[in-house]
Amino acid sequence: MIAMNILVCFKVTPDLDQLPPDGWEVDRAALTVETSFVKAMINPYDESALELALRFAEDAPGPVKLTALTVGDRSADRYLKMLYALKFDRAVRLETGADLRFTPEGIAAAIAAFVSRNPHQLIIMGRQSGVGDNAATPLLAAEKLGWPCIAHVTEIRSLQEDLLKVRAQADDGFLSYAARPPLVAAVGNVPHAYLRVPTLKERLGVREKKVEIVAAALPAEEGAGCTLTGLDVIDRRRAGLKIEGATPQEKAGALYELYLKERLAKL
Amino acid sequence: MKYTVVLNGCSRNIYSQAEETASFVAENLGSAPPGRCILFYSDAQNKEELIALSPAESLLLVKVKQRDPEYYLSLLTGLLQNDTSSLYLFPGDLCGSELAIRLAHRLGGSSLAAVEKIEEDGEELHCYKTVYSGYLRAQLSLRQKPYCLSIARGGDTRRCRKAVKVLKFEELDATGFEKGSPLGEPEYEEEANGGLELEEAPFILVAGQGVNSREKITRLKEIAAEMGATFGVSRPVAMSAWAPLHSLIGVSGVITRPQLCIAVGISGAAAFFAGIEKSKYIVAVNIDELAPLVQSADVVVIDDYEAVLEELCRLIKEQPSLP
Repeated sequence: MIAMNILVCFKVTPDLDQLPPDGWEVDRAALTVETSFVKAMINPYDESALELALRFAEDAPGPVKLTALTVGDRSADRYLKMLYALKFDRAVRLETGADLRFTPEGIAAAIAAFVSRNPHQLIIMGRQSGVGDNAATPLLAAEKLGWPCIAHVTEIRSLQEDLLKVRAQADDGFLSYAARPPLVAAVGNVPHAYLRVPTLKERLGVREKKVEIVAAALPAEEGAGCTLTGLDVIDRRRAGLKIEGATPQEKAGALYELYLKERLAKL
Repeated sequence: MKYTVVLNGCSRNIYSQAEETASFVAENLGSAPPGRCILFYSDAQNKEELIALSPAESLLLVKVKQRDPEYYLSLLTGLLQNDTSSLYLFPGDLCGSELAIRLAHRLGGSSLAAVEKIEEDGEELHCYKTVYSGYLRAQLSLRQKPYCLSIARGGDTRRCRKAVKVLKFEELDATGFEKGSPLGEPEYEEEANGGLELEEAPFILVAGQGVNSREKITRLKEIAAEMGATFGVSRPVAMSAWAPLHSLIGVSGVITRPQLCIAVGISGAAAFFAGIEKSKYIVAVNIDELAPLVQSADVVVIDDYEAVLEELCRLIKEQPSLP
């Protein structure tokens, strides 16, 4: 039986929620934000994508080969090593040296070029990541490859050797597909899909494995992309009036009498 | 700028799609020549109601047999091959945002999702949208037409919407369109309320990660019902499967616009806050005085949320008329 090759794309991002509200400083000339001191993490949607791929491989009736791919600098290597420990067969990093913000066209093209040199039947990746907030990369990767795409995926299972069951969130319900590869699955909100943690033994077992580093130039955007021309901090402050009181009950009473009673009556 | 709006009449959120796109058109394209609307529908919808929702004077109703994005995309790609619109506008929901990005690629144009505002400037279209998980607003400039944009959800639809009278009306029966989707026809499973009830609720109670167990979430849901509020949760709670996905509030879930929002045990990450930002009045109940939501709420109670909410619920229930 021929193995199904699955490519799982992920991105290492700064955990932006760790920045305090007054910690956002924009360099207006360079249009950059200093986030290097913030803890890095795997983009949460990509984390779900990686975990869904591992579950798929465990339950599939036939052999599955998993490749983890990221586009970025060497800060991603420790995550790639961890994915080796979680039984990914290949861990690949495309090194571009470029500013990767707001470049979904370029990243999608780099992914498509990798797949054209390294055939895969299924690509799984998170639907979006925090910096660009545009949810475009998986969709554009599918378009560039000429593959169908299912977005907002919550479940991927193997029905039989060459048939997948894919469940996806829609705006007012769910859509379930019986789909044949090739396919791009853009993973959305998936409850209970946090990436598993490898054991120490699993980590030690892959100590000598090397991350595959491939030099890649981001293809020219050919006018289809967008150019960042401005960046500003959003001020969301409101009054923030604090309710005083000796006990929670007293505070609840004051909140109700002073601020809610009248508003509730008008609803 | 010649524009076309594309709406998905098969989805039960069609009213918010229509309101948000109409509001965006009024705010951004008021001086443009009248636009066109393409509206997908099936036998299950009331055609007269859909016609009244058109945000443009020219309407093309397209009857479809499937309601998935891949199918719509194939149809649109065929329909728009010789179209001369410079701008295609989609609602900012899941389907609309997917169509905007993929259609731009197929038509050789450029795209952006969740756009709040646009300004045309010679050869470029400047678009404004939130980035960096909702903490920053970017200006991004597009050069290549046609521009395919999805609109940021939760736009201000309270402004008086100018009534649009449909002057030109066409119909297309595409139910025989066989080359629709390479994926075949998916099974559709309707969610009881979807996020629609939450989206339109005047009073919501929202629980976050500070409410740290399934049992406590269940109790808060009961309290919400007793107070007359609709219940929602932040992403970490939904990802723990303590509440259904359709109750998720934030960028990746429902964007609400209630008169009153009580947020409990929520730190206030920007991606969550986007889901309650349109609330007229926000109350935060949190034990952590340094939580970012404390600064973004109108009024704040720093204390144990359980005791505060139990008492608040009792006080509201004592009133003769519940909301």
